[in-house]
Amino acid sequence: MPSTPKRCCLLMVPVALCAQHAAHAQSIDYGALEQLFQEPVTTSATGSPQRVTDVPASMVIITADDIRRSGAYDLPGVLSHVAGVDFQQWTDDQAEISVRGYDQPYSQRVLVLINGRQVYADNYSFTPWSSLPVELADIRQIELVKGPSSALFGFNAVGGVINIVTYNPLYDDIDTASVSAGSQQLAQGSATATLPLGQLGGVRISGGARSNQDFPNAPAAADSDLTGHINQRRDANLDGAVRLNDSTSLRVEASTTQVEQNADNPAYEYDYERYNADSLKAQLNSDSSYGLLQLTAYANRLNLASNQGVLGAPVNYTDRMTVLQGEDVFKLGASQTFRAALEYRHESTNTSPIAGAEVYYDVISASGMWSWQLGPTLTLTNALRLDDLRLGRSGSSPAGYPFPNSDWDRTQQQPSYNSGLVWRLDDNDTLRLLAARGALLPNLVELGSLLYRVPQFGGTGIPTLAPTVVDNYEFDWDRQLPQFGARLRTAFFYQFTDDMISLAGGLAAGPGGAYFTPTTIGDSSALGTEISLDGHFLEHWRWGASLRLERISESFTPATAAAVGQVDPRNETPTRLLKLNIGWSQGRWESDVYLAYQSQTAGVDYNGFVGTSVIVPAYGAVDARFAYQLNSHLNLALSGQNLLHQQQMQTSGEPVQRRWLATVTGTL
Amino acid sequence: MRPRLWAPLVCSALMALPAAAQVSDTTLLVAARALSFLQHPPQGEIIVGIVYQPGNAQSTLEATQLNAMMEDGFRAGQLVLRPRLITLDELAGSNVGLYFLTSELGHAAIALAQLNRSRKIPCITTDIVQVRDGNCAMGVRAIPRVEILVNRAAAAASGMTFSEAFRVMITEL
Repeated sequence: MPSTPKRCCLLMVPVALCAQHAAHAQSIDYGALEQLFQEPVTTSATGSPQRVTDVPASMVIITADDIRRSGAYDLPGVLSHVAGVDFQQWTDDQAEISVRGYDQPYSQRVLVLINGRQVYADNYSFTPWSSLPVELADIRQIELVKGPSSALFGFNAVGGVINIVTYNPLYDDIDTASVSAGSQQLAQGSATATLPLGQLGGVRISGGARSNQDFPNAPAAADSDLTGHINQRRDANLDGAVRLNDSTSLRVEASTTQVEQNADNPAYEYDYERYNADSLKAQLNSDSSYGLLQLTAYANRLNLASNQGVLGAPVNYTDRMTVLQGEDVFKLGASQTFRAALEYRHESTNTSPIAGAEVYYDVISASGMWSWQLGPTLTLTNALRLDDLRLGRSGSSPAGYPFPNSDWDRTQQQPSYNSGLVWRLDDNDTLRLLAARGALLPNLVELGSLLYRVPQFGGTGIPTLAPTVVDNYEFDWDRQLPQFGARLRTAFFYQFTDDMISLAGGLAAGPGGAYFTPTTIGDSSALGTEISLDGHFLEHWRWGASLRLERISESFTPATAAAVGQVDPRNETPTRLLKLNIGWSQGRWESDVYLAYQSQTAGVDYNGFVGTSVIVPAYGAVDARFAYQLNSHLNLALSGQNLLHQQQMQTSGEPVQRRWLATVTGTL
Repeated sequence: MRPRLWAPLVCSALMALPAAAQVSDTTLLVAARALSFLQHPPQGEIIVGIVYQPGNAQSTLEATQLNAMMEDGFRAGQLVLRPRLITLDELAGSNVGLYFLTSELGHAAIALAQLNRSRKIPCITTDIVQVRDGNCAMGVRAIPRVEILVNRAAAAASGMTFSEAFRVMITEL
């Protein structure tokens, strides 16, 4: 066994990668590690590979089996069954996901990634789920971290992180295709094929298409753009991985997605939106005596266009992101594991509806993680990250605009941390004491990309907004109950959110007249507990039950609280969120039923300039899936969502429709 | 190896399992899979020397169990394990690719450690004391939770170098 791994400067990483010849593994082989440890493995908690029961975080891993048995046809549908996850269905294809409350249209607080590549859109601080270039069959597991994780992932990982891990063509051979048809004229097709390249590696190609009619029963008073509109989604993905030598591999991923769908925007106004997203990513991995070295470069482009936009003027934002990352995870001695990382990020978005300018920032980040095994059952993990952001604006402005471009020449330094003490009391009990701070960056729209003008007034983002900071303190207790074939998980958390931002509420006067602006509206805190139980019984049955109790308080400035009404987490977050599921599988048959109940909430109905509060009564929703395995290659499934009612009010927007879906899946 | 103050605690924690449950198919599977994380993993068929003490009931029982599990070839990925029963007295003349130490060999297992300094043959055991004492490089258990313990000095002496992804996920002494 080699002695202590050499500490290395990240600048030497390429040299080190080329010099390796002896080691066996390259990138993390999730399948092999999961088989060895007999539980899922993740890198999303600390950056270091860990068993899910060891992570210093409240984490849930949704396996490929869970995804298949969910009966869902998209990612939010899968996530809606997860304990403690908030789910709001605004249109057929726009669902918003949040963790521990604070859900809303264009939900901001959960950072979403695919294989570590950010798919969360910084221009509006949200995740356009339909535009994510991934087929459900490509996913090995979805890793959900509850609470801030900015020390690993940087800005915007304040409420949680969802990392979607796909199969790696270096290790996994997936060949499958499915077609679905359902109510609301839903038609969906998906295919994945892997081309093995022998010892060299492999290539996976996948794609899908979906169309469905949205709001078939919308009232005549609804916006004519919404009623009966055909939503569409198409995506294509290429994922190739090759072994460069015994220790090093290169993985390249490329994707494109086109989406047209109804959506409710951050101002709670329905619109018809189009997303065009493209990405290219390359990642070099090496498992060597220098540690687990990783170099990543990727570029995202997301074009978001809407029909109505602002005051009837279409908006068209093109967000471009370029990211370079380098990291090394290594172990010193027997009990100390470290991660050192550097990152550079460039992000830009044009102004809209008034074009002609671009708002951008560059972020340089340094981060580190130290995991110290204090004893055989006690591990202390500390992670720290510093982001240095330089904001800028280039291009033209309307006459009389109150801000010169030089006002955007600003810098911000933002520290974040995660600390966790994990104590395995015995084979059954684990305690976790967690503290974390994360930062939610004002999005580029709020920082100035929003720019409109009518004769009487205008609206613009402003450069002076500070990040929203979230502090989270948490105590978790997990207990295995082997006598019942079950597991109990509990979490008690307190979260304080400092300087929340509303898209409207401020005012800036200039020579050309007044502009409405985003503004900081105050603070919020959340106190809550999550209790979940899951297990198996009588060989063929599985079950789960979870309850989240949460109370959010707000301390908003009176003027903004009264006038804006666009940010209302206290009323939009249910105080009680209950989820139950039961499943059975035997021989060729499988069936699963999911129930979600949430207590009364109040949402916002915002038409033009005034937001009014709308009571959303408590409701229960049932999803189900029944499947039959015809032979070793063909599976037939019938699934349904929101089965209790033909349509049901679940948000302050349009009611959610019942949906039936039949799916035929072929697997080689 | 630099002594660790908590090494005895590690061993105590890992030893807290019923002796009769120490060797099972799952244990052997975990052991075989762990070998795939060596930087030079064994492949194909390898002969596993099951080291036991004929006069010791527990050791003999485990050896019998292991022999039965592997006699038709125990497959784990690209690896096929085939057994050969070896008493401590037969160690010097053994020609195997892997040692599996049964429990309760006590100080007699020092002979294996001495032999391994020259032969560089990987060693696995369920007897965590042998790992703590440096007589065997890797200890495994599978139930109720997979635990893997590696004595770094013993591993180095027997030529076992693990991938970093594996090292950060196990307990080392």
